[in-house]
Amino acid sequence: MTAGLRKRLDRNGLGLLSPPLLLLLVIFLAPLLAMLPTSFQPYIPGKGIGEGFTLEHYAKALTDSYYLEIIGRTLALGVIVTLTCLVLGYPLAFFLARTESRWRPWLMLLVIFPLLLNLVVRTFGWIALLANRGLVNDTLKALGLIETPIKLLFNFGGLLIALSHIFLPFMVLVLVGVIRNLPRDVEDAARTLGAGWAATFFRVTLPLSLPGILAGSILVFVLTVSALVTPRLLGGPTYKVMSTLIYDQFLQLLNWPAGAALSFILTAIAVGLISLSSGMARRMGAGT
Amino acid sequence: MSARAAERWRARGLAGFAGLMLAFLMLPVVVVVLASFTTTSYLTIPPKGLTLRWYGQVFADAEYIDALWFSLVLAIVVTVVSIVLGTMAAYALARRQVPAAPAVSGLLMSPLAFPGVVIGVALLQYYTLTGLRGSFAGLLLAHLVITLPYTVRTILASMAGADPEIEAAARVLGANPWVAFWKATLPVIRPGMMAGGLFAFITSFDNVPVTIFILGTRHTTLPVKIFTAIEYGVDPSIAALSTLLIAGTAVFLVAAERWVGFHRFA
Amino acid sequence: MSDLRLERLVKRYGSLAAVDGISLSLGEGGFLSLVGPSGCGKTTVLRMVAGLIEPDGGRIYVGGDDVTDVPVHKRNLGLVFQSYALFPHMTVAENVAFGLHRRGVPRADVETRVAKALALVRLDGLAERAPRQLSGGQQQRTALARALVVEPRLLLLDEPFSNLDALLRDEMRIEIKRLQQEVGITTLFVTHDQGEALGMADQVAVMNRGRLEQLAAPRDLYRAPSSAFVAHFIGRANLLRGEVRGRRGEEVTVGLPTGAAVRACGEIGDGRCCVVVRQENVRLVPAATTADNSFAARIVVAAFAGATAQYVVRLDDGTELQVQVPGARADLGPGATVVAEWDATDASVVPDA
Repeated sequence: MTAGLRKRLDRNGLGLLSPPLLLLLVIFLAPLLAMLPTSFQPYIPGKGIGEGFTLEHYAKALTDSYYLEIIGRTLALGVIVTLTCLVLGYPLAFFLARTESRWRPWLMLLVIFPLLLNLVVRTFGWIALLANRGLVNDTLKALGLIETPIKLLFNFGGLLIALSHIFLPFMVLVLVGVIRNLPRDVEDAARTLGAGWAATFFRVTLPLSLPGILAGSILVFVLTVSALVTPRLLGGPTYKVMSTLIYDQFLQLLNWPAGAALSFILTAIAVGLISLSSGMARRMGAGT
Repeated sequence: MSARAAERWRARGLAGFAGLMLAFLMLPVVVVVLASFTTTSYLTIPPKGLTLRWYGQVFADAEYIDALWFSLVLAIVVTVVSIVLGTMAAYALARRQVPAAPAVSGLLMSPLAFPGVVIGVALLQYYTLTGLRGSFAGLLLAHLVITLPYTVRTILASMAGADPEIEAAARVLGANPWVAFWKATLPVIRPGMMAGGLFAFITSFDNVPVTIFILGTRHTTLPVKIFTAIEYGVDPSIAALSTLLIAGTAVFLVAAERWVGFHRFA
Repeated sequence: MSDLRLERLVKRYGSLAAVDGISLSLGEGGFLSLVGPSGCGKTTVLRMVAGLIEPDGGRIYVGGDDVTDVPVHKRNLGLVFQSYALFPHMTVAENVAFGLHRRGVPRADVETRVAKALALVRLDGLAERAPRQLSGGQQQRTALARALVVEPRLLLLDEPFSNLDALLRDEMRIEIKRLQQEVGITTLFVTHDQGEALGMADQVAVMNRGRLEQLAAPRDLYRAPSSAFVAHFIGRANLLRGEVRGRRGEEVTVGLPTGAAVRACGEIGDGRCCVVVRQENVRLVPAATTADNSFAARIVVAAFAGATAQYVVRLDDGTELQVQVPGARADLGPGATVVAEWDATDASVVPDA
């Protein structure tokens, strides 16, 4: 390498950046690009990937009622889990952001702890809670509220509860960060101008936390529609969402082309939403 | 006085709700721990009787022990390499005139936006074609891709607190670039490197959606092992193993909080 | 518009009394500066008056009504924050209209009152701007309009100039003073800047460590400080610690630890005391005259600052004095020997702190 080139690579940082960038190009972008042609190839049962070009996997995913139901279910789960996390998470985040308790760091750790705990373990906890002979059904029976156990596994309700639990910490941490950065003076100003707590909250605090609400919601939605472990374990092999469908196409049915097409549809939803929201955040940041 | 009283009741209500939510967050954890002590061969809460039998069964199971070591070794190697690569990238982005810097940092962050299962299946096909499937190197590279966003982000954040002038001052005082970085910048960004490393470790140690598609037949990671075990059917030994992981995570978290004030980085 | 009265106001944080029994009163239409070093409790007093902090003891009366237990939003006060605290998600007009909407003022009236308030602070034409599109001075005018439009009983100003650059600060000081006189509103002004405190107000309250040191008109405060703290804080006077040796009428002779004696005026008993000598009252002359106090000295530092010049001189006994002389007469350099003189009537005696 000539001295001039070395100097240039140092000044523009590409010398330092090339190992991490090379890693991403070879182990991230290349595999994704290599999967793109697969999604347009025909699938021959028993033999695997065939020759030729076809749009049938995309067409089927977007027209077939079986696929549409799974996509619809995935999106519905995403929306409802997001709303649940928002409604449960905002008050908790508000408390954690504003409390002057000296326990605050430890309360924050209680939020972070489930996040660090192995996802399979957390999901397993929900199996123990939601099973026919799990804690929830036993408690309800002991209280005399039900006679036969209610079905909480392998359906929408169970997934909703468990996924809300699993993604609640993400929402809370994003909101705590935003609420802590709200200027307290501005709320005090509203109060001196005659706003009671409700008016102060709905006219000042809540509108100013909108960027955090947006960021947290996008995050939770994308994580929910991408989730594999929890839907697989709580939904079983029959109650499917998009990611478990992709899992089955690749590992059970060996229908890679269909799985690849579904992967790109799921990616389009996740990445599309993220870029849409960062555009929105930029506009909100730029002001009225 | 009534306005003040109302304000106090609102504060109490909020604290009560927050307590309820924190309890909800800890509920499955508590349930798993309780279930691990039952004498029955099926899961039940509260446990019937009290036994450590299931823990004995876990420790006697060579497959679990092998999976645990494999996961730990993988996670440690991933963490070290991810910190090195992350520091290189963060340093370049913070201190150099990187052409198309937003695109570069966007690319470094992009594995966060992609669903894990999509990265997993893409690597399944790619590794099958290139022969990396089932190799430790393949697993390591895949885990580096998914941990790099965390290390880059936290180190970049701590880089913002490190004044470039300090390094310049060290240079003026006669330090070569390496010494200047080592003595002037590294101590300031060390908390960011530690926090990024902790995220990388956890991300690698916990991962299922990517790992499950590229594992070989000889070794498996612990979470994938538990994942497949649950698919076959649950018994209290899984609760015992989970309880061990819960205890390990708790110790890890408290230690991390003591070292670097972890909650600031989350 | 109303008068303000504080009775033995107390606020504790743990074992520390941030505000330790402050009593004062301010007449209708008056302008009172609350001044002191940072951490003296002045902002805590203002926030208790506003209702943002709950006092641990004492009462607050506005216009004769006890408002101690009235919640913030029912006090009807106008507060201008150090940070201005404009609502970033609202336009200038929406910011100003906020308080009117909370009071249920009919929409048509809101528009005319907002327009009037904006005209008063000379912001007409910027009504539809977002706060971040305004300069610092314009933001402050918006905050002022927002506080005044609701016709509050009191105007509270919390360090309103500290975020402005020097030129703008002078301009806004005069602007606010003019506005206060026009509207005639009772105003409580908190600042750490003694120049600001003297220049703006007709009453100045000096606070130190949660207590009121002195409450007086600016001139009286400057001429007759009641304590060494006030003397030093207001105008950075020279303080010479010593002991009362004798008295003849108004005049007191104070012995300094170095053995020298200083003659000054003041009503004080025996024992330890402090002689206050204002920087501008010291004359530097080539040879001793018949002045009451006259000491041989040497110039240590000379700093020319245009209208004035600042000297540090060291007396023969080692005492250092700050001296300010008109810039036109500043022709002494470091090392020059001079005589530092002042009259007994220009020096006052206060208790030693």
